[in-house]
Amino acid sequence: MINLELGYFIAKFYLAGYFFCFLLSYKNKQKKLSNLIITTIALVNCIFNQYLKEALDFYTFYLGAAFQILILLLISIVIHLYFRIKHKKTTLVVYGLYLLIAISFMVIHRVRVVIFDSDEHILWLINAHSVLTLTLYFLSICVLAYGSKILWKSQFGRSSSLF
Amino acid sequence: MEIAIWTFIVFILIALFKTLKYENNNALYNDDQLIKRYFEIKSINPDYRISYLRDWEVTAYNVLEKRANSKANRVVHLKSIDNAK
Repeated sequence: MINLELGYFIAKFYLAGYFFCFLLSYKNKQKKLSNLIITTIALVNCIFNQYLKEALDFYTFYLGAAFQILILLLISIVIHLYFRIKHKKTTLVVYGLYLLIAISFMVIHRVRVVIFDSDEHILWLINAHSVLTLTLYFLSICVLAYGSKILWKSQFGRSSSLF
Repeated sequence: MEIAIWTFIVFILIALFKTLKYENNNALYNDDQLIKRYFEIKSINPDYRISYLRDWEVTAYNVLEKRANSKANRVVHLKSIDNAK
């Protein structure tokens, strides 16, 4: 596992990123409701995650993380179906990234708990896994920001004629 | 617990593919494309809908007229009575 202070800094950075994406997608909610749904659920997940990780112990830490991500995907699918909103391509890419993260969590759980039963021998693997998940989360933020970007013409089309 | 989460992963994948198929097949999700197509047709031929209706009206009128003519033709002409008149 990476240094805790650095981890907290990255977590704050990512929270700010998700919040920025939320604001962007809230701005153009008429056009891109799909991105708004996935960003709000991811933001709520980020905040709820901080309370959840204290409740989990050695044996259920990675299982809980994987289960949380899968619940996120299920809730977003149900909301899409209930409100009859079509999935965007960027949302599907984010789904794929989150599924990759969940599967990697499951693999690490298998290696850590069932095969080795300790962290001492596989610290390098856990470090590499944390780097992988953080990069995947960063990629998901980038995809959300790309999906919910504001077009200049649609937002500021009228005021641009003044300049 | 672990097996349950693996099954949950598979379940979510199946649900995702099912929803995507449903979105592709259901007409409710294709509103934007239908409206786009309609405006394309309108830009090519602005009289599209009205001309279609007019053609239908003309054909219906022709059919009715034909039927009336055929009914009129069904009257039996007896030559002897016509000549007597």
